[in-house]
Amino acid sequence: MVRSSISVITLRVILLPVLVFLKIAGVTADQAVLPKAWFEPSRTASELGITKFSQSPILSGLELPSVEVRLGKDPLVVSPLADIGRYGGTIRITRNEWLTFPNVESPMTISADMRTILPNLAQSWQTSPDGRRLTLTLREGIKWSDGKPLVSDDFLFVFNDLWLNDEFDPIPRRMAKGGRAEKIDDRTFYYEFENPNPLMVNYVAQYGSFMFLPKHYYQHFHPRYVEKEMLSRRIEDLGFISWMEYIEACRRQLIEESVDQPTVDAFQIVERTPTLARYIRNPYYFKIDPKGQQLPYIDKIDQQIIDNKEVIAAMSATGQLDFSAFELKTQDIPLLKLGEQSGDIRVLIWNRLHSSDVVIQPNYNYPDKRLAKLYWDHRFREALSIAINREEMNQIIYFGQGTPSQMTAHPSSAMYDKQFASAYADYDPARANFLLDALGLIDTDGDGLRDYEDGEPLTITLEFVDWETPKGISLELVSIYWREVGIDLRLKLVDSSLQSERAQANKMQMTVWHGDKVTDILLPISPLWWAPIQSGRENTLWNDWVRWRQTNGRLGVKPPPIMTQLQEWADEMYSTIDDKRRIELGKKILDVGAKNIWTIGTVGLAPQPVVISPKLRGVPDNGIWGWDNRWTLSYHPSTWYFE
Amino acid sequence: MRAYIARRIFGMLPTLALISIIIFVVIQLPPGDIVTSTLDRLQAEGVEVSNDQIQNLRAQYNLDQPMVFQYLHWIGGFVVGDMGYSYLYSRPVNELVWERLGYTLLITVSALIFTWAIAIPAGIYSAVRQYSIGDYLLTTVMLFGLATPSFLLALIVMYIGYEWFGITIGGLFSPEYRDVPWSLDRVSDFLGHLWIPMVVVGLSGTASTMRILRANLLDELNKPYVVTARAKGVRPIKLLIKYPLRIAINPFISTIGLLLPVLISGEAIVSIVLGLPTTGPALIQALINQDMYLAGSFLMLLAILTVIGMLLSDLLLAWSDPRIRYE
Repeated sequence: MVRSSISVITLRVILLPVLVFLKIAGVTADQAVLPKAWFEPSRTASELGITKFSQSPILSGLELPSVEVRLGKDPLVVSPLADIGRYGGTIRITRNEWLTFPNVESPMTISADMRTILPNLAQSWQTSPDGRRLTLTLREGIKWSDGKPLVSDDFLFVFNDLWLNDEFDPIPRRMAKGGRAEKIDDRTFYYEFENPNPLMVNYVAQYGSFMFLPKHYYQHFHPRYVEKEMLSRRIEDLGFISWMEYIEACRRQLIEESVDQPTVDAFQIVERTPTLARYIRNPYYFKIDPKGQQLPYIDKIDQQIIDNKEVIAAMSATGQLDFSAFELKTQDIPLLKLGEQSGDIRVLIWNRLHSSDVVIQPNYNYPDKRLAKLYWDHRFREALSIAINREEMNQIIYFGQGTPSQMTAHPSSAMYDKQFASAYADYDPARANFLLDALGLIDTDGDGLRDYEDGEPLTITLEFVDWETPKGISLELVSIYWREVGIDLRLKLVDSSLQSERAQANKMQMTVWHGDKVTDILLPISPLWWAPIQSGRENTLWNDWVRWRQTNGRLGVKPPPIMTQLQEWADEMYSTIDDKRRIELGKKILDVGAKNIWTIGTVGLAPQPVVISPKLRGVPDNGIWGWDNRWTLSYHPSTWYFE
Repeated sequence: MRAYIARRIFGMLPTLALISIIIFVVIQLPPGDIVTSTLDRLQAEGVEVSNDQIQNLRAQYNLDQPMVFQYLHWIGGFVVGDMGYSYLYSRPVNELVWERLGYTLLITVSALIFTWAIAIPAGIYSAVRQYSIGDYLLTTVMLFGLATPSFLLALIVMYIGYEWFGITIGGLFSPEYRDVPWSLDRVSDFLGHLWIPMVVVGLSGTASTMRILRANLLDELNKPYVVTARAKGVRPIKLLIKYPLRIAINPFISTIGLLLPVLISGEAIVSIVLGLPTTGPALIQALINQDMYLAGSFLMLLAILTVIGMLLSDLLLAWSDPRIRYE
């Protein structure tokens, strides 16, 4: 309760009237020109003929091996956005940026084109012809920040000893199910699965930073490597109740002890208190710029731990942070633009990845059969969709910077088709009224709202959590549009744990979530918006059909033929080793989705404010912001620098 | 006297036991539990979850045990000083509580002092000079403080602090003093930040304090003993402080204990708005995520503080007012 009341009355609300006078001009997304190198596999020093290496001045004088030794045999060369940077500086961010700023490293990364997988820690990889095995070869000479080499065992430890350990992961992850990791030598290992799993490579690219840990540190806290009594004593001394809790807290850098673990990222954590975390450059970081200077350019990070997002927005607007984006929202743009006038900050407008910021989901398995039947009627869904004035929503909520769209693939995807995005998305209230009339939904009691044929009022209750994207204000508008065609939509703002529970129990008539998992990296793994393959709080369209599939018909309800077909296509898309076939299947699934409007999209590719210090260089003016591409990683934060 | 204190302390125990049961039950009432929020996190990381597997997770958190057992497990630990483990913060509750409770008490106590420092002189003035311009002015200003919601006041004061005094937003320290050992500079930096929550939390209480004092004092001022004393030529200031004020102030002393929970809950909201590392934000996070041990232990500690506060106020009252008997 407190949380919602505070988020409603905020600095923004106080300042908004001011903006009417100030007229926020200049909310435009400048198209950034990204270096070609960001779309290609990074090259190494020897390939580019770089033989001289240098390091940040703060490292000289420390008792460290020379920079050549630390960089390893053949370091990776990363081009900055434009100019070569200079060393130095401490960047001020909040804890919430812990995965976006410190250039988190993965075996592979995702190119700025959002679909190509590029080598990183791994110099190469290979999927076996049957799709069951993915072999990775690590780059030679990469070291942890304590100087120990990065080896296959570090990856095996996470997969075999943590993910397949039923104490650590009582619920096996989808990406670990039926699999195991095996080592060939110190730099070569493979993941192998019972069933074909050719998309494992996408997981490794997107999720890879969580797929390895320094085994030489963490093995001291694992029952496989430490005798049981000693382990429980060690864990107890640290003040923890189980080894799983300790590893998890240490890995997520929640505790003081986190500073003991080495890293391969650009920055290593050196101090962690309840209110602050400090990082310093990793002296063994394996990337250099084209001049042979070891990255990152920035020496230190100061992270403040701030719980309140409103405070973070206020701090961002007043120049107290040098980089801030994760907790900022479209609605913050006016406040930030106001702050920009003081010259203390620059506000960049990136675009969120979501094809649709708000995805309206009718519950086809809702226990009230009459409502479920209505949802299942194509005319009803079409009427609801075309009754929405997306262009107006774009102007009101997104300053005209979003893209009206149904829920489909991201434009960067090979499966994207313009027609999928625009299907039934044009505002046409007259036709909507015609369709609803044809369904026999007439206003019988004269209250201006449509009723069922027998006179019972038709109401739809939409339960939602106002989180991440501007769901509340979007839905206010949707309810107005629907009311104009006589549909009574009742909005109910709920807490996130309540929504979870109501989703599990299949008690929601309608709900919304933001439409992510839309790139070629994640869409083929989980096409959850277009086929009943999984359900959860973000996706409550068809719980019973999903349950039927998950339990092989033991629970749930047998899905109609079109859904079975979609499930089969989704399964084949997941398991085929033929990339062409995969795209073809994806297009089929999206085509059926577009024709049937399973979900109703609103506006996507929405403006995401990214606030930076005017002195911070190397950050593109425009980028794509989202989980699919890990927010910043395609734009190489280790090459950002202070002027 | 000693028997009186002993009796009072003994009487606190059943009260606290009852409070602990209510706390436990109320926290369990809303839907979901810590597993629900853990699941949400797992799902966000791409983990598929089925219903059978949720049971495993519940078992790991001891949530499959009967309620009575869970309660005894919690309160048993609490009594011997082990407040359990916060799944939300992955740390022992003891650590979390102590590092935050200090700031909460500091803000609360300083707010209390601020309230009294403003309200008592103002109350005396407006009683002695009843219906004067000063009386109306003070009352109006104080009522503004009462009528403005504290979170709005916090935003306004924070804005003023930043715009006029350059005080950084969020936290109780400037960034450079955030995690250095205590020094004179750090203390002064801290005091420079402390006044914002102190004023915001304290201001809401000033209006009622002042008005009550004013009413009490007005009752006393017209009593015969005051008239007699005045007739006998006792100096007005000495008279005021020595007799009517001492009686008029009794209700405050007896409600110190009640003031504490009001201030602490006010502090919670203000701390969320200002981003302070006190118990308030952690308590609300714990309640939202149903982190039983953390939320329960916080509330229990606050209850204990309140009960102790009540005892102290009774003792103070007995000391300041000889008419009170220890029966």
